[in-house]
Amino acid sequence: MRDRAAFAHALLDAHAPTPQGLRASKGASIDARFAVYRNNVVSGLIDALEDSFPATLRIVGPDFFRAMAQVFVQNAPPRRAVLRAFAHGFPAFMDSFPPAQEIAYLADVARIEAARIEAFHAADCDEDAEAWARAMSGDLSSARIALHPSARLVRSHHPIVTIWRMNARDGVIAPVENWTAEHALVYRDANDAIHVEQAPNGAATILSGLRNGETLGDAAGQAIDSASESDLTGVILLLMRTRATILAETGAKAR
Amino acid sequence: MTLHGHLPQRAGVGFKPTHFAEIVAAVRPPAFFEVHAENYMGAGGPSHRQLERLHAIAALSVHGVGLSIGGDALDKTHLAQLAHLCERHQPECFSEHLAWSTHEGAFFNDLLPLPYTRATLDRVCAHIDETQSVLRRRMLLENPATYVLFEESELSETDFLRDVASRTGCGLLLDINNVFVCAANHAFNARDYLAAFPMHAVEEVHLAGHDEQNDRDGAALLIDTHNRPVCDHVWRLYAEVIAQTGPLPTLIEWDNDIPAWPVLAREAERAEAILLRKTADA
Repeated sequence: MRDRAAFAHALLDAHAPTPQGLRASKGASIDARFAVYRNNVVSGLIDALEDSFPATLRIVGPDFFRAMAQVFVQNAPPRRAVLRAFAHGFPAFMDSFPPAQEIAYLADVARIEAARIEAFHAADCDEDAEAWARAMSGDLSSARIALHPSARLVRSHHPIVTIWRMNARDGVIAPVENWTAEHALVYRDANDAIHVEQAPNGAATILSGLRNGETLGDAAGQAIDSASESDLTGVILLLMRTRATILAETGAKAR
Repeated sequence: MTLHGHLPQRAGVGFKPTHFAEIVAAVRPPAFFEVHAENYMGAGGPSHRQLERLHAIAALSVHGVGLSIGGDALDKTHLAQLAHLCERHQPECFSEHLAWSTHEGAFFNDLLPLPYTRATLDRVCAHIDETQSVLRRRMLLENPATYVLFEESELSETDFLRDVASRTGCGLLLDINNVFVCAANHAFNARDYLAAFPMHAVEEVHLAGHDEQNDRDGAALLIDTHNRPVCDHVWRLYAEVIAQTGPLPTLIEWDNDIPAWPVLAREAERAEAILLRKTADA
């Protein structure tokens, strides 16, 4: 094609002229025909974002959502044919989109929705109950633990889990009684259900530490240092429930 | 090139996860299922397990919508993911479109038209060679639904597809709804197009519904929306094609405003009836 660049540019820019060199049958308008492609591309991508971010859509309403999505589509079109990566970039765009900044929690709620999509498609991982049993009978504090591939942590200064739940499908919107920071833990369970749980402050610190390769003991130490109460037993139960894997059992011998 | 079996010469449907429970419970599920490759490029999760269950009861066709065969250069990462998907699920068929969807790193999520010139023919053939070589299997190439034509085109679409098939050895996927949509949009006769189509290379047929509009100058404009039943004109053209070619694997595509399972299953049964009639004749 002589001018694919002009065709591509005009798809995303509604004010760009219809590209040169196109033909339509007698009586048909080339502009109207080209507009079909423009609409397919822009509306199709906005629709895909609507499908991916139902709670965000409910919070801001369809007019605001589609206007915001259109700016995102035009400024940062997908780079890949797998649209998950495109959806993943939408919350960061909200952080930089002035009209959305007025809703301080919006981008973090959207991050929960992006995390749910990633959790759905994340790698599978065999559970190893025996490794857990061995670790429990040894010294768990020196264990290195890998979170399940589906596990995602979304940290926030806002009550994002409460707000997400109210705005998720079938959620009931009500005043937020306790406006405190909430971190979200998103994961896929053994029956392929996607969960969104509030991770207590200490647990979020421990999970971040484990993800950085720290032992459970060191990660828990960080949680105590960060001056928030952490319930280590609660964290261990959470790790087991979310299908984390014991990577290395240095166990009693290491001490 | 490895042999991967064939789709059965029967009716199949585009798989939608919302239909999964009814499909696995069906006494006579469709003979094959087709999925969009890009929806199965995650590392794991329930979608792959669903595909494995489906493939245990029916044949599988992987249909790409994002490779951009008519684009400037193939995305090597995307091609590698397609190869991985085909390796993992061993589908009976892989197909893509005569279209482009990427330019300079942007993906437009639509099947965009290309002019039919010697230069674009060379490029499409090179990309199909590359795809077949990376996937280590033959592919099918589908005729597009288009809304504009190009002044620089020097080949008809049917000649273009004939040359692609003969040069690359790929098969063709004949989308009869796309033919009907193009015939209305570009004011040609669908039967003339089908008479010129290289039927010897056709290995699968697509049938779908379209939306009928008028553009702002009042000219008829059909949009390939896949959001409703196949129209009667397309059914007639389909029966004529099958009468000529004999039975071919035939897919009902319904991607938007997805109906209840029995509605989609009935569309497949209607195609199956036409195929069986021809099989009985033979």
